[in-house]
Amino acid sequence: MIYSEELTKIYKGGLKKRGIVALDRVSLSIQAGEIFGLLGPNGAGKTTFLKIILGLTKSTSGRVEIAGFRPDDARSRLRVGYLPENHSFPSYLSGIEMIRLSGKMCGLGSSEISDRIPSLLQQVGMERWGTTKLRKYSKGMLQRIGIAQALINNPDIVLLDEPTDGVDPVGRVEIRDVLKKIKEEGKLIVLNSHLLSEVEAVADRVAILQRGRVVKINTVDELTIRGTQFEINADIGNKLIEVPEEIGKKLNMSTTKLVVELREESQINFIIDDLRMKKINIRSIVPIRLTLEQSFMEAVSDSPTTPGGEVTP
Amino acid sequence: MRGFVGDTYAEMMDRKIVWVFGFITIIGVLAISASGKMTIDMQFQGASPLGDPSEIILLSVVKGLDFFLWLSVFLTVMATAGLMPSILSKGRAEYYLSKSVSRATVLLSKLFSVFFVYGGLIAICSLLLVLTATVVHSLSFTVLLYPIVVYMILLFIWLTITFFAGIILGSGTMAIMTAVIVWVVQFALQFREGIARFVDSSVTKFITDALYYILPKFSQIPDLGEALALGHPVESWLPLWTSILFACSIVIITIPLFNRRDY
Repeated sequence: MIYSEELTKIYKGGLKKRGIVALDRVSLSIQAGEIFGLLGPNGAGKTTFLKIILGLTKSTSGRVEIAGFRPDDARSRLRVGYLPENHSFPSYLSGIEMIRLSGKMCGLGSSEISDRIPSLLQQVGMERWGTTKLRKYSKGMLQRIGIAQALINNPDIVLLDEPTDGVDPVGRVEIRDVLKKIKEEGKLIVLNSHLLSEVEAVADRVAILQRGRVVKINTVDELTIRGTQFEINADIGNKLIEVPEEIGKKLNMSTTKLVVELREESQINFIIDDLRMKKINIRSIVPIRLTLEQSFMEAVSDSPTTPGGEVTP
Repeated sequence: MRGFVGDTYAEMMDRKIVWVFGFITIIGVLAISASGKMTIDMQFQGASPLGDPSEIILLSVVKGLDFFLWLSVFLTVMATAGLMPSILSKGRAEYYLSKSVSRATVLLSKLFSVFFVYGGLIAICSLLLVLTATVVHSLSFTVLLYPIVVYMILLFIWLTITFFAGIILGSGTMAIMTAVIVWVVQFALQFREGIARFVDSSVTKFITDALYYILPKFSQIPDLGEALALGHPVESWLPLWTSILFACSIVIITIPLFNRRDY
């Protein structure tokens, strides 16, 4: 559905200023039916990536396709819904008028738009506020109506840039439910958010961008799992458990729990055998997980900190 | 296009511009109604030293209508100069340009919707004046439509300039300044022969002549409507068709420049 190869964007600087590398050879392939999270610190290139695939910004080099079309072809946006970051929707319109305008710009007929509006308002919990002018909306209400307008054309690809920005915790849960429902319909959602817990709760795969480069890309499970650390819940009691240095080390131990870090994942079998030999009842073995935030911080701090992002003029 | 007309209409209503047009229209209607007494006085006094009373009335109405239309077009240009920069401002451009319409469609739809909505408002207001003049002074309704048509063309040419400047410079203020500069230059170019004689340079003459034929002739186009309304012969249609050509060229140039920009 979305495919980029060696995608690069360099914003030109002024006469004496250096150009800014917003994206540096980004190659991604995002398929239908997944929620894909784009993470990165400010200026990492997340929004630039979305803008390029929407044709709002031209790439400097590389290839990009969305729904089989190049971004400069208006047909590429036919089945795309987009909620921009820091949007400034026409405040003189009401929620319904804004959704209607979006529908018309997507080429939908008036009756089709009228049919879809009530269900969309209900989906985002705005059915009571549809006729109110946008200028009277709170930030959270604007986000909800923004999501509704992005869904008016029943898109196959939904691009959401900071969708929960300014939304209260209850609203966040509701938006999360909306996203899950959209995903169940087999649609692709690209989620660009600073709220890592939000992304962790809904995303299937995540790409972490740093200074315009993809520094990590994987499923949320793979990113958060610590393959060689395990928490073993067992009736250890006062028995002595030693972990030989050649297979790993003991991180923590109590009468009911043993935490180990192994050199290789398969060496957990050695620990299990040892425990069984000592007739210790094993209740569970759980791989230790990081939060997405911890994984993100690791990825960001591991990547080179040379003054990237700038090129000579 | 349908969406943009509704959007432009909603914005116009929100900005209370209708009230301004309503106010100047009421003043115009009252002025024409009051001038009915002048007609009766003239009819009682017989032939005026100024000429045939009916011709004087027609001339006065046409001049008044001309001023009303000029003011309306001026207000519209000022009021709409910021529309395109506003659409293309950060946070809003992403909304308009991320839909499945090409940028050329966005530009043309907005341009024509502003022309239809604001031009429609000017047409309705000026038709009220024409209707009043027809009733009060028994003038021909059809004849008074010429200035309205001419000013509609003038409005469209103005809009192409402010849209072009709005997209390229990204500021409503700069769009207004560009429109004013074009107006001042075209006004000065009416006296190009005098300028060339004063400077006494063939290069200057070539440049001023070229600019005269290229730039729209805002000061001369209204004269065409006035001449048609008064039944006078039109000396030359050149100011009209060269100005239309300029507007079309501006639109054609704007589209690729708009397509190249990053938002």
